[in-house]
Amino acid sequence: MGAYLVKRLLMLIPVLLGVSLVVFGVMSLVPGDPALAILGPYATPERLAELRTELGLDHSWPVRYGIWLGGVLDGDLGRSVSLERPVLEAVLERLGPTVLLASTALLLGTLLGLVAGMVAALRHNQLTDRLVTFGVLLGISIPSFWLGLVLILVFAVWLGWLPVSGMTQVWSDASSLWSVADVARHLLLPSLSLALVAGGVIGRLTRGAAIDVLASAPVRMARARGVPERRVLLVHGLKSVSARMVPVIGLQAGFVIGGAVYIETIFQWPGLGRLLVEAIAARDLLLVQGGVLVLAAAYVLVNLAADLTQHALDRRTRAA
Amino acid sequence: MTTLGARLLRQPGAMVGLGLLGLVVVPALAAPWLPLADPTLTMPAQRMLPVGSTGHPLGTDALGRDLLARLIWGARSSITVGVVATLVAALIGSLIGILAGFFGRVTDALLMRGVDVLMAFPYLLLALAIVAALGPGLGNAMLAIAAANVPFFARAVRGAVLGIRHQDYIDAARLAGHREWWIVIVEVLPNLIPTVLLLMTTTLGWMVLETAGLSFLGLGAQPPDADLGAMLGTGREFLTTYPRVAVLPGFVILILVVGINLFGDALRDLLDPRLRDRGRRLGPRRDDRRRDDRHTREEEHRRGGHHRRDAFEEERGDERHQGEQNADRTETDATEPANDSASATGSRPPLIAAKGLSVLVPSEGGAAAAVDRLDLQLRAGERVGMVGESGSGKSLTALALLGFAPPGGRLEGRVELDGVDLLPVDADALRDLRGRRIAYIPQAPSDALDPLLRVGYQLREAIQAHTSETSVNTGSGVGEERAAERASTQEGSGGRSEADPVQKAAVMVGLGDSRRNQSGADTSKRIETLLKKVGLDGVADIQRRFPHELSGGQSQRVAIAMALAHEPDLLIADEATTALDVTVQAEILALLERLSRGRDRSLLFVSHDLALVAGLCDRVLVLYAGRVVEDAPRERLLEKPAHPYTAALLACSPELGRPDKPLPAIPGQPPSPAESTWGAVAAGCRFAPRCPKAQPVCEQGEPALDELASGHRVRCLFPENDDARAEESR
Repeated sequence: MGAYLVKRLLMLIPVLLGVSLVVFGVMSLVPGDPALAILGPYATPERLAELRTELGLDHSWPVRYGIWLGGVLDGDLGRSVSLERPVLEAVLERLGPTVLLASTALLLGTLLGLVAGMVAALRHNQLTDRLVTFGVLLGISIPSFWLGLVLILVFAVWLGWLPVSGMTQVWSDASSLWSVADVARHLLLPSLSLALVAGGVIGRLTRGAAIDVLASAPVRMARARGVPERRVLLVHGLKSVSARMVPVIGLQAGFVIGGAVYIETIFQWPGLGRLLVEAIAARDLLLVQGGVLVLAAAYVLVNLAADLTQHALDRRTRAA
Repeated sequence: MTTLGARLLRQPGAMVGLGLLGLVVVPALAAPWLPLADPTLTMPAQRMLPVGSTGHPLGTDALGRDLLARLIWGARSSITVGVVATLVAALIGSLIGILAGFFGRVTDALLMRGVDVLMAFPYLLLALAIVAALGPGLGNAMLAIAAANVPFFARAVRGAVLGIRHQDYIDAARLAGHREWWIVIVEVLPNLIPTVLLLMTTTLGWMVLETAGLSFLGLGAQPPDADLGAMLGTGREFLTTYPRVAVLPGFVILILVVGINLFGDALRDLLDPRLRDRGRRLGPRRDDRRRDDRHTREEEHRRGGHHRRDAFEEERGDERHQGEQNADRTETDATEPANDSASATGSRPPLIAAKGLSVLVPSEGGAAAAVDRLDLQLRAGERVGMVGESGSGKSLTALALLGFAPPGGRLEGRVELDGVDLLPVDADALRDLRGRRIAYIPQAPSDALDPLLRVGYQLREAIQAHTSETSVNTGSGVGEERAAERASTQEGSGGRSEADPVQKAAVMVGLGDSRRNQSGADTSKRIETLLKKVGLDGVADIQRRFPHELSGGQSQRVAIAMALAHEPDLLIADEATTALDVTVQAEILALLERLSRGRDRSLLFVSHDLALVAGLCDRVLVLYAGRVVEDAPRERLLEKPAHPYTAALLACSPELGRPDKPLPAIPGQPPSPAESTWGAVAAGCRFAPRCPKAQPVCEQGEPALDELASGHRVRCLFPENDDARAEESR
């Protein structure tokens, strides 16, 4: 485990460097003068000149990247034009709610997907399997932003069981035990909108993996030794399936983070996704850059965690 | 292509998918010619007209625009953008994949590292960043989504190219002096088309969803253009008051994407052979087997292909008829020598006997018999070898003795342990018997052990499978044990008196629950004894390891230790030495010999190596294409093999000290289960097409398994070393 951990941590460095390079590169796709694009048409010539030096626009591309990267490592992501405050501060403030939403959604989706996939595999080619397969296909095909709206319509507007929005208020007031319950109430619909879709993908792949595993030699050998069926399924079956599914779940974190952009917009969730949409609308490029960088880094870390978990489940995996 | 189309049309998923697609795509394509209102014409006076208004079947939106027209034109926009984005991503991604895969080395390393980094992004985020930089707009949104999906195509196409690159015809083209670009265009590209098409159908749904999502956020299609995503985004404002304005566009997207995905799945099932088998059913669960048999038969009939299958059924019916007569005859044939030797050893019934055992496997034309009406007997203490080429059905037979059917297949006939048929008993009785009375050692050491669990855990599990510690998992072990004891002493009048006769009989022969009490310390001691018995030192160390940390020989010793855990009456070693190095092979053989000699334990040793089998076993069965072709005592088989196939097998095994001995290969291939069930060789002797002595008569009827000498049976009209018979037939 130790050697694997070190190797895998070392591998983070080039990946994170690559991610930063892409984020920087994409932002230089901006047509025309970046300083003008950032500050907008009403900026004073003095401010424009100042920003040009700040961004190192008179230098070559690699030098500018170096300057920017140095700033990033120092915790300086620039200053948001629309919010008139440091980008890092604004981004970190919004990170918490997004992490809460995304991790809840991923957890729910994983549970749903694993259970559905295992059940379908155990009832392979029977009615249950067909129903699950169709449900899973529906999950994959459903637009999460539409599902969010439908859930609001049914559970908030028609039934009146759950709140539509108002998380911003709850989040800033969160202090007592009561507010935990309140957060949970606000969390249910948005996380469900994401979880049903993520669960679709996870369920579909779990079904395939479980069908393979249940027909595999180690499972058959456990049965040949007379190991009770429940133990064969829960120990041998589930462990193999989990080991295969953990990387897939890590990849689904990417979907959940992306989907959070829609869902936060729909549910007025005070997270990073909504901040990004607002920043794009306001042409606040440095804020977009900072937000994307932080979310991408978070995704890289989630996948690191997934790889470590997989290694813990299956010691044969190597850091490639 | 026509056959592919025809096969697609037979898939219900494909049909439903096409139907749903048509529902959305046909009106969208026909939009310019349909009598629709102008989708962008605003009429503030006619704002939010309800469904069914004159001239507006689905009503109007907040600006008085006709909703139906906007839905149809919006679908047109969403489909166009999704398709174009897919094409762009496929084109660029394939180009990168081809370059990386075909030219390899530096190009590959550079391109693929780039792809890896792009894949380290949540792709919607990448698309958002690109739109943020380029500015909102439908074209930019499409480009952004396409760009975010390029890595996916690049990686998959590179994989496909790597597969193609090492094909012989590429080397041939190179040797012929063609330039690299010529090879790429003429040899590689055409072979990539199916892969890329498949990837496109599977990603199209995503692309439609993602571009709609960007429009929903206001970053794609701009007002007043009709686009499903944008309609959903603007309709959101009126969700509580006029839900249809937002819900309908989303519903159209859902229908469209479900259609695409259903169709794509069906296409993938047909095109991707690796995934195709996954759709086939697993072995039916034991208790469902009878019902399933009927079910699959009905299904087979319903699915059509009547001509071939009906012929098959009839033929098999006839065969069965003959088979029954044959069985009667062969049974007397078979029991006679058994009785002879039984009287010598003290008149005991066979420990295990297969009677008319068939293993049916799925094939293109229906269920084919990979093992066909096989008879086999093992007396207590007897060591029998089973030889044959791969595909002869020897491993399937070995597994069938434990009641295992192959994935998607089923068993027919009887497998009797102490005279009781195992195949109809329930899953729990069968479980109790596996590992306790019959133990199995598989071919590859990697098959024997679960790679994810420590060796010690698996040893413990194997022991506890039949001791009361498993009560944690299976309920009250002690209680069941008592019930079983009562049942067996009072012949079923105790705890299991209500059980059906089969179960009662099962309990009587010791199939019922009879787990012994064993404490954790006992288990540890038992593990230690077992590991020592199979010649493993460092007991604690071995237990701490994972299977991949053991050598092949060590793994196989552990597997044998597990098999011995409950002192089974029958040990089945299925090619147990094949995957090992030669020296280790010899050690394991010696171990198996030691463990089976001088006890009442029977050994069924399955191998393709006749010499190996002959060295270990008292009697040898030779299998060919699912049939026993020869059954003889060891010495007799080695000295006077009767079946031409056996003779050929002996001729092609190398001999020590005779390096100059020619090793003739047997020409041709053994028939597949389908071929021998209803194909080319179904009518006659299955070996006839490869047999040097074959006569026309050999193809007219399958020879019976006739007794040649005492205890020596052969399925051949012209056996070797049988001058009298050969003379007579001339």
